[in-house]
Amino acid sequence: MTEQHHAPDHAGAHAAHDPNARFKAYINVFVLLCVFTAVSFVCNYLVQIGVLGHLTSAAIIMLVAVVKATCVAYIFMHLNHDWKTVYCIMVPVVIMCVMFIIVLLPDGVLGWPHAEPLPK
Amino acid sequence: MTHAHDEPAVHMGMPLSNGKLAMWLFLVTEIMFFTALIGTYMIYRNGQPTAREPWPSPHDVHLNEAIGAINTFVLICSSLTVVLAHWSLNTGNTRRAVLYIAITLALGGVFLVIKAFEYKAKIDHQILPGRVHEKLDGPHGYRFVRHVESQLKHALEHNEAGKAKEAAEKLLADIAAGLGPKKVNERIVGTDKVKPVDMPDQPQNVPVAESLLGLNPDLHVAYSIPYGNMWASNYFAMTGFHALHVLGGLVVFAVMLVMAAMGNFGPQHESMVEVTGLYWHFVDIVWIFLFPLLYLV
Repeated sequence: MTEQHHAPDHAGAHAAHDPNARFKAYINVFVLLCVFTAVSFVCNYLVQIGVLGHLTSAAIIMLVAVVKATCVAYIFMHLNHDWKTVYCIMVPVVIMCVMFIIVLLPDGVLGWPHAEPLPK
Repeated sequence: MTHAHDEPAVHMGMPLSNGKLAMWLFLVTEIMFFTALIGTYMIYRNGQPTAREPWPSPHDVHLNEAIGAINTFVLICSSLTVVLAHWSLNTGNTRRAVLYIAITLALGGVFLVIKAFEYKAKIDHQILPGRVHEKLDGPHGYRFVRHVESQLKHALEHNEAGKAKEAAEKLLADIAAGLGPKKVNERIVGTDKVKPVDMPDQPQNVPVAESLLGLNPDLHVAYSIPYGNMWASNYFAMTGFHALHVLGGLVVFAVMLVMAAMGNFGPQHESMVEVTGLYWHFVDIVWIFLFPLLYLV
C-alpha cells in the first residue's frame, strides 16, 4: 500500500503543493492555449492567401489541437497528479478512439488519390 | 498477524473520491460519444467530396472563423476561471471562488449567445438539414429556380435587396424568360465562386462583385452548396450536443451560486467544484477539436 491509499481523495495531495506555483502553472497554460489558438487562426489565414498548403496547414492545426487538449487535461484536469490513478480507465478508451479513427481512414483520406480530377 | 495493527488499512477500489471516480467514468463514455460524432464527420467530410464537387467551405455556409476563434477564447477563459475557483476554495478563499464561478457562468452564457447568433444565420439562410439545394440538374434545378424566384420577389416587395435591387430585378426578369438553374446560381454567387459541378456549359462570366451576394452578402437567397445538407446535419449534431453539454454545466454553476447566496457554500464543497471543473474542462476539450474541424480544416 502506498501513501495515497490512505487518502480517499487527492485534495490533500494538491494542497501539499505550493498554491502560488499552481496558480502560475494555470496562468501559463492559459497563455499557451491562447497562443496556440492564434497559431491555428494564422495558419488558416496563410492558406487563404496562398502562403501555406492546405494539407500542411491541416496537419499543423490538428497537431495544435492535440497539444491544447493535452495541456487542458494534464494541468487543468489534474492528470499530472491523477494519471497514475485513472490511467486504467483512460487507456482503454484512448486505444478505442485511436483504433476507431484508424478504422475510418480507408473510407476517408485513402479515397483521395482516386478522386475525380478537376476539369480544365 | 501480531503486527496487523501496524499495517495500513486496505481500501477497496481506486484511491479517488466516489464523485471523482464517477465523473471520470462518465467522461470516458463522453469521449466515446464525441469520437463517434467526429468520426462520422470525418467520413462524410473526406469520403465522397471531390475537387469537382467539394465539401462546403466555411464561407459557403456562412461560418465565420473569427467568431469560432472568439468562442474558443471564451471557453479557454472559462476553463481558467473554473480551475481558479477550485484553487481559491483549496486555499480557503470562498468569496474569490464564488466570484470565479460567477465569471465562469457568464462566460458560458457568452459562448451560448454567440452560438445562438450563428444558428440564427444558418436559419435565416436556410442552411438546414434537407433545406439546402445541392444539385442543379433535373427536378432539383427546377425546384431551385422556383425557390430563388420566390425569395427574390419577397426581398423586392419588402425592400430587403439593398444594393442588389437592380441585379435582383434583372435576374427575376431573366428567370421569367427561362434562364437555367446553373446560370441562375452563377448570377447569385459570381462565376469565380461557382463549384465546377455547377458551372454552366456557357458561363456568363459574372464578376463576384456584380453577383447578387457580392452586392449584398446578407441577401436571403438560395444558392447551390454541394453536400450542404450533410454538412448541416453534421454541424448541428456536433455543435448542438456540445451546446447542450455547456448548458448542463451552466446549470450546475448556477446551483453553486444559489448555494453561495444562501450561505451554504464553502471549502467543504471543494470536491464538488473540482468534479464540475473536470466536466467543464472536458467540454472545453471537445470544442478545441470542433473549432478546427468545422471552421479551419
